[in-house]
Amino acid sequence: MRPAPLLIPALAALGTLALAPGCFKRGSDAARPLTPDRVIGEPGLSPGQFSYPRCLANDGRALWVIDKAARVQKLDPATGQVLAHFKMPDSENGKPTGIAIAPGDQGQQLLYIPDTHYYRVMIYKPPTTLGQPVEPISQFGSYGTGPGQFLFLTDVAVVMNDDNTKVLRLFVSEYGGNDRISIFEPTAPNQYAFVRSFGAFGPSAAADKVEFSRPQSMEFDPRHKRLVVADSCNHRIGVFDIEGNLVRWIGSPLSTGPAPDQFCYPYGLCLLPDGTAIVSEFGNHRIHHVNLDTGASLGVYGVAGRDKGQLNSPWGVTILDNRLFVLDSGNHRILGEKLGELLSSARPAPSAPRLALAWPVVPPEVP
Amino acid sequence: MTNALANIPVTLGALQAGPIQFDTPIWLALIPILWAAAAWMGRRSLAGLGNVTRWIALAVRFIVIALLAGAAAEPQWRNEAKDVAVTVILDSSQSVPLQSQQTIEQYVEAAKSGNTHKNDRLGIVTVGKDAFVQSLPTPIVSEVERQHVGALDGTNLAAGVRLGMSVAPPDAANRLLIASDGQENVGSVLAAAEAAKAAGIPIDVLLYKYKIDGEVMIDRLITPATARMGENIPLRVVLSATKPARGWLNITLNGEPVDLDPDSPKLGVPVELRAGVPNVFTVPVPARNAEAHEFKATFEPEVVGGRMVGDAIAENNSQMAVTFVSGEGRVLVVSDTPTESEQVVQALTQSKIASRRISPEQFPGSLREIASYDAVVMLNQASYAYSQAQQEAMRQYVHDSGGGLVMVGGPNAFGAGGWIGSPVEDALPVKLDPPQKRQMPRGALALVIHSVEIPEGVYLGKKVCEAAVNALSRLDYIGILESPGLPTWSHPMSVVGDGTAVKRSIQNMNFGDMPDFAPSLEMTLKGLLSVDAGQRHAIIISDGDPQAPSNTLLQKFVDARIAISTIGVACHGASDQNTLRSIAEKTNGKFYNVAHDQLATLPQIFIKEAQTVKRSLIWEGPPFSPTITGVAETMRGIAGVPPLKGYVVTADREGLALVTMRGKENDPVAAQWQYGLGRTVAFMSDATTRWTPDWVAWSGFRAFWEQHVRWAMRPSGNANVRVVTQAEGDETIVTAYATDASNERLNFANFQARLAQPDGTAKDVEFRQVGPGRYEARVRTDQSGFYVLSANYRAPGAAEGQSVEGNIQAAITKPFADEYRTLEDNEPLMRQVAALTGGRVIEGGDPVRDELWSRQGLTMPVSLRPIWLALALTAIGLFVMDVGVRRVRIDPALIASMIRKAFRASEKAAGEQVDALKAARKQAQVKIAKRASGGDEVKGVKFEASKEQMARPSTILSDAPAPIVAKAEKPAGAKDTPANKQEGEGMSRLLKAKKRAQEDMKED
Repeated sequence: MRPAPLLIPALAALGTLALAPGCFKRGSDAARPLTPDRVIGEPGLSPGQFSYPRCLANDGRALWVIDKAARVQKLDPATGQVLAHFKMPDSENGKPTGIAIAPGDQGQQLLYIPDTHYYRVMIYKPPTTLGQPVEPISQFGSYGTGPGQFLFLTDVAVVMNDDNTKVLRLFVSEYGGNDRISIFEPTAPNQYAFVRSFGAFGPSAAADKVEFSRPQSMEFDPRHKRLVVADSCNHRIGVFDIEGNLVRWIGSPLSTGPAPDQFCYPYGLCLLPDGTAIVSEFGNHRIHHVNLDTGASLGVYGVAGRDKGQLNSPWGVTILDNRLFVLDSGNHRILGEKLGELLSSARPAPSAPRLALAWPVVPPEVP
Repeated sequence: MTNALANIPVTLGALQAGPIQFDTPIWLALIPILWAAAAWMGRRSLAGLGNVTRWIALAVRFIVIALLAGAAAEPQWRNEAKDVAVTVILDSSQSVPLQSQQTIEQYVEAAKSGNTHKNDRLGIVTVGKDAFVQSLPTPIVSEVERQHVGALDGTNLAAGVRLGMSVAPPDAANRLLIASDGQENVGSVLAAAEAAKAAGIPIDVLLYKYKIDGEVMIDRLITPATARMGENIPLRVVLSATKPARGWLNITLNGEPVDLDPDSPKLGVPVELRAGVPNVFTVPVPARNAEAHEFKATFEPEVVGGRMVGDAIAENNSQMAVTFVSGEGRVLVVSDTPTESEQVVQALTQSKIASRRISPEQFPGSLREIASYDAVVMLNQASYAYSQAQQEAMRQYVHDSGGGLVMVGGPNAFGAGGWIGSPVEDALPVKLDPPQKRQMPRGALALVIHSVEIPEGVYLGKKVCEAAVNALSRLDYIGILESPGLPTWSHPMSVVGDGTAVKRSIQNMNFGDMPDFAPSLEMTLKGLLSVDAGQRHAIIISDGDPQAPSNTLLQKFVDARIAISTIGVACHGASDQNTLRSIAEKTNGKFYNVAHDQLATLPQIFIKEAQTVKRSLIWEGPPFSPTITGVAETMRGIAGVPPLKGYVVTADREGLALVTMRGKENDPVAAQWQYGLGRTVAFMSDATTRWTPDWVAWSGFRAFWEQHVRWAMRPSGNANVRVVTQAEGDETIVTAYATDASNERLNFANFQARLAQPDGTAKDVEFRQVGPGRYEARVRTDQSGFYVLSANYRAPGAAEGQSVEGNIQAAITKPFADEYRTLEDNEPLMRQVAALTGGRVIEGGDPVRDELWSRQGLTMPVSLRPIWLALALTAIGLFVMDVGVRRVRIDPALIASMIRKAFRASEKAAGEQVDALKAARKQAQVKIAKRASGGDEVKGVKFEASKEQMARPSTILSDAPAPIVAKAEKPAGAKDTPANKQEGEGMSRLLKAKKRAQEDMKED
């Protein structure tokens, strides 16, 4: 047999092998596993352990987590040590699924907890030491579908003035058939009055309608003065201006799946200074880096599983000290990875697949 | 040296030297021998080498020998653990006051927070009647959390110790700490302690100390096991008191108070108790009906100022006993409505069989109550109307107490009634699964499971799935869908078969959080439509908070005639309930809202819903006359039966079951068999006009039912047998006094007896004759609750060929657990456990002083890693080096010289570079100076440094070190260096050695 016919496939195989790692690293549709340098928590009910944690936030120094045992825990992001913890006053009906941390009117940091199954927003002054008794300093809301009433609250987003000394308004999201976002404004320190709400329940993909299906989490972007909403069961992210006017949808209820240009139950999100967002996808067990202006999918990270670096139904994400923390709910833990290292494998913008975009009337400027 | 050797431990043939352990140290003995040999051989073979080289070569050989011998000695690298894990076994039983338990919890938490070794671990195991892990031993656990602790009316310290040992981490030294009063009443903690000792785990003990001074308890309530109607039943109540006490004695009969003193306004009688002796009170109570008489005696202590005087524990102030009052046999008939049972009851009445009709809600809850009937007739009854305990009691009633069961069909009975897999199926003479070869429409059931936010959610989820699977026949389809993120089939829609595969899938379920019902229901619809089934049904279990599905999707279910039943568990609010209710209503299913306190009903709901797909087990068609098969007492005088229009399809059971009537495709229509001590009859058609319209008018109708029921009924017997029970510790002595009809003592009787126990199990009981007409059996009665003893007896009669036979029953009660009999702690046992395992007796109070995580007496576990390969490879490498040392001349002076040469060359090059740069710099400075002074302008700026270049710090120039340049300037004279001289000497020495070797060879 002549050598040439053997050589050609052999060289082709070698070439494929040589190129394969490069394909995986950059510009590929395959998600790269996370390489966390921090793993915080384990299953259990002691402080520092979690029982299906569902919300994650940070106060600039520490992480805050609420789990299905209705425990609010403050954790050292470096060691996982519990710095403070308390239990929600009522939890028989259900446990909170969101938490926001922002300065109050006096400048001190406050915890805003949407008490999902008790139809109210609870505001706490965070405890600083272990064992410190905790009482809510304020709360508002009641059961119902009327103005200022709630079914199941999911998240709170706080809008501050430019020097972070005064709360301008709160956005409160809810689901359960009355899926909408309500705006509340302060009437006195830590007292809020309903202003109006926007959105309704529905699966509409049309850009002229603001319909939500379980808006699970929100973040307000003070730099761009916009509210970003994870419209989970519609598998999309909504960008709104500060008045609640829709700027654009990223993703579509008509297209859900594991592709990089799709979302599957985006549950949590956090915003980066460059106008991009990191979204945790409950259904895809992954983290998705997207450009909120262009809809470009800049990278997907994490694969489903229970091992280190794998994710099981992640509910939330937050960034603290240039490190991304992912709430790996199904695995009862938090994974931390350096943001720079994670995003270094991002796709170059020109080759990035794009999620479906929809906007109301005037197309947004696409950089 | 001596001291160093003394520090090397040798254990079990292994030798430990620092972090290395040799498992076969005998090989190390080769080292000195081989060293000596190598030295001796080296005298000649290395003689040609220089002094230094020779020693190096020898040293290398020594090392190679040591490494090879070391590798042969199976060396292991030891990693010794540094942490200690303490697993606390908390006695949570009811004998330990709650306050004491809380004190211990605080003590343990304080001890953990005060422990300076932060990586030490704490684990928690609770002990009641069983042991449960509350927290695995990890460094994070710092608080005592209690979740499910199980039944607390017993103390099983042995289970706690075994569980503590099983969760002990292998990479830490382990201690167990038992915090208990030492009053165990299940298992043997000493036996478990032996196992702990063998595992090298010391058990520390922390004693809950207590002693109750004043206590009254009812030791026994003695009643005859059997009595006759109209007799006075003598009740003897035995009370004990640790101090003289006063109070009232009350008696209830079947829950109703008995007036012990008609002259007094109170129902009870006053009693005064003496300390330290049995206080016996006798009360006669007349037997009222032919049924079980359940007596309960209660002591009510004197109360002064709101506190009980002379009594501390209320739980041990009552006792129960049962007397079976014999009379005419009675039959219990169960039907949903009186109409359904009207014809059967009438037939029984005409046959002079006393019966009582009840609805399923009135069905007795315990074996003791059922056992007072001689037979139970169930007409068209579905299994979901009966709790698991009732079904088990029914099985026991037949098998262990000799009762009769007649199950009559109808659309809700047998397999169509969800009895497949139930305890009752075991008792029936037919199999409820249809025959494998029978061609019939199948059912398909899809279970959509969403996690619910209750602590026992996962456990319940699995239970209900199993219940549903058990209710299906082996030919039906089952699919289980859950949603860990995206909906997935935990068990794809497939045939149930023997249920093994689906039950394995159930055990692996994750119970994920479902955001949205729609994707799951779409998948469910697709799955149900993918199989060829006559009946399709879906059940959702959820807390109701996923997003509701669209009406369009629900309409697809309606179009496919698939109902969705929804079960809301711990729904968060009205909205969640509405979502689930709406899904059910729109698809013609049912909605169940199950509150926290109704969780036990969940499996029954699932069985009921699963039954929806079981309609396929019903045969209905044109009337036909079943074929009479087999000869049986029940069919005596019946040559043929009227036609019937329907029946429930069942299959033949192997063994001694007798099918007396068959229908289409040879299906059994009537069957019977002996099951344990009792008998069962199954009639798969019904007893109404629905399926047997012509039967009521049939002349043989009464005889048919009378013969079937009489055959199944417990034999009443023709002898007088009285039974007395007497408790002796954990045993009860059952004595039967038997006489025949002429009051002669009945000898040589053969008893076949079973004892049904409170935990649902049963065991055989052996009676032996101990005197004329007197028989005795000893049974172990160490569980609290009711025991029912049932015995069939047969003895030779007075006349030749005659026999005397019958059945007796007795109930034994143990109403409160031994947990409530203890009046003080059992310190000696606890001390014994500590002493046996090398543990400590912890006094408590000061967690820092007690040092729970103390290293004292603990052996740190060691993990071993074999390193022989590394040693062997190193030896091989050195061996090559050894060859090199001998064959290759290594001249340090020459190497030094070469290094210097190399340096010089680089320094020279560097010097030249620096010179060039200096020149360029000088040239540039001249140009700049000229330009600044306005002097001669240089034409052609091509090579002129730009402004940026000028502004850039001239790192290279300024950093160029002058001394290097100076060094580079003296490269000459290399040949005269001492190194070169040494090189020449080395070569001549090598030549000399070669010459000498050649001379030696010549001489040889």
